[in-house]
Amino acid sequence: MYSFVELKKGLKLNIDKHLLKMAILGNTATQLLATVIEGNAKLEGINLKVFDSDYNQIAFQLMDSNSETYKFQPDFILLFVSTDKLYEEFLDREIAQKRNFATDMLEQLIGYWDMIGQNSKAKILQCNFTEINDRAFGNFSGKIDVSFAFQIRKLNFLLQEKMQEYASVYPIDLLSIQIQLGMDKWHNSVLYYNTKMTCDVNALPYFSKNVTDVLKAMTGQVKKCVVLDLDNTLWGGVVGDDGLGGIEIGELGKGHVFVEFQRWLKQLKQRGVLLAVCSKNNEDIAKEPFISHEEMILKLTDITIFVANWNDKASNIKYIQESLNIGMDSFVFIDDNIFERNLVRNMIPEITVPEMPEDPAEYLDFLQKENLFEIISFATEDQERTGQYQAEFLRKELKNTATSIDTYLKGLDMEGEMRTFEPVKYARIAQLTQRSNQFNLRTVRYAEDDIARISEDDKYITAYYTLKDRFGDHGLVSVIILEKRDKKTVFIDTWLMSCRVLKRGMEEFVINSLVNLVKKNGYTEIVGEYISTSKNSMVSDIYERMGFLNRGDNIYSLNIVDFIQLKTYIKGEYDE
Amino acid sequence: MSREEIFTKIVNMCKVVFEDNELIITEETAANDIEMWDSLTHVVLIAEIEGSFGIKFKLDEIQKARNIGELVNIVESKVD
Repeated sequence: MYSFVELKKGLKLNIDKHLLKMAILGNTATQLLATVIEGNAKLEGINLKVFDSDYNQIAFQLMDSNSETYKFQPDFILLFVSTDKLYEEFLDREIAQKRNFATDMLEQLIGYWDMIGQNSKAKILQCNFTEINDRAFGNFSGKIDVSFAFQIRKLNFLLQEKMQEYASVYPIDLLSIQIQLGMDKWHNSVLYYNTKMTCDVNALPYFSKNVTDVLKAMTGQVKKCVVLDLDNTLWGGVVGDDGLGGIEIGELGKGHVFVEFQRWLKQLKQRGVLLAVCSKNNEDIAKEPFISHEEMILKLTDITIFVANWNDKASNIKYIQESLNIGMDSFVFIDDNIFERNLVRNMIPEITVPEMPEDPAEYLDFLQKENLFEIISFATEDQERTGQYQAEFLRKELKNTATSIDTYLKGLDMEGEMRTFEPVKYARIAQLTQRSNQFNLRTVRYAEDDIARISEDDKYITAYYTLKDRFGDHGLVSVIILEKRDKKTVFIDTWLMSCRVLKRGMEEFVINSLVNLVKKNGYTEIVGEYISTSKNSMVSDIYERMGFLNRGDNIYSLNIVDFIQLKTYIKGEYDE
Repeated sequence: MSREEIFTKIVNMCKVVFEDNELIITEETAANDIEMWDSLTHVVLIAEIEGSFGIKFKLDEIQKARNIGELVNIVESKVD
């Protein structure tokens, strides 16, 4: 967590990246908030410019399509309606009107969202509502619908439900900050009456951290894998010395600490974060608790890769990273041992290594506060990720025994399919544009609402691809967005592919089917562009490999009239 | 804590908050004398002073303390 002064210094940083713009609309003083958000984003490598609208102008700014807010052309609009202001409005109401407070406020918010939707492409960052300890009805407030406690809690609940219907609205959970800090550290009454700032100066860094965390996820910085130590991290004690019966794990005593920690990790796995083990141990001893200890929450099937040996941990983590083929900056390494943490930090600067507290009782609390696992979409496919990576290991074994790459690929019995975008897949497609870094030709990030807009727009032809083989279903692995340029040409706005399916002939399958799709739509030329990033050099020559002509300046074109189908072992539905 | 110690600490905080290490500050220095000293940085300076000395300003005190000497007076009245 940065201090206020550090955040202010961050403002002066020059970030050599695509400029993102955020407008802040609030009903209390937000100048300092604007300062810390811009500073925090820059400290995290995001080139953010913040426009702070005059306070209490939300409706005026949003109604007028020529307002300063819309002229600023923001990528994001942060809507911060403070509870202090709502409280005043609530108190001024006649008692009968207090009953409708939450529904009225929700209507107002929906009005804001709709106005933004009509006038701007900005994504909405919607703050939820902190609480005020009103106590006019004492504890009885909990069953009195004209009490403030009742209405503000109802409003938060209604807001959650309504946000599910609006893909362009992203929650900022201020209430969780207030819960973490406590009432008195969130809100400073002296400051509020002096300046109309609803959030204390010392609470602002927490606010800006949460906003920045969401921006990071929106710009593709998400954590995909947690690498776990075992002894004194997943259980108390050393299994090699204390034996299976001697380690602390279970509902009793200190074991409870580790059980609870494992429960939380299991939840991460359920939501699509991969768990890996990296332990200095003999493999059979390290695996024994997972197999035989009844009170272990995590089982071997929850672990995507299990590495237990006596090599140094940095080398082992590099091995895990290469096996999973995801960026090192999407890894989190959790180890109780400060020596191991420092070694890994020094050898692998990109990895995130939380400075775990000394007392295991504080592990979970600490990691929850760090908020490392921000996402901006959640698809059902996420839940299957661990199984998919495990199937990948079976494939690797087949590959090791196959006599040639051709016999290996034939032996996989692969089947591909191409379909145009459909609503049930929007979340997953958006997520791939946010997460894919290596096989991504132009690295354009899209949110779910962008994908919905594109697939309904006649200007675009869309396709997503699935792949399965005899070991399992890879699910949705590649995305194409074609922009119609003129009567004969389409431009590849987006081509990305999951790295899990590299070198299987999927690239060729995509291009073969793409040519058919383009032909069917009546076009004769496909133009592609490669925009270089620090991570996508693996596709710098992909278009040439696929038979495109190099036109210079990273532009490539393919005349589909003379196109000869590329060789691939993937059977597919595009075949005619 | 002596008045000089309090003064020195506050001067150092001013240098950080007003982002100028070369600031020359006396007890008479007021908000008008420092370009960066506006209502916003005032709030930040107060928060820094409160945190550093472990004290809390009253609303009246924040609103009327507009020079360094007055800030030192308030802190002096609150610390042992």
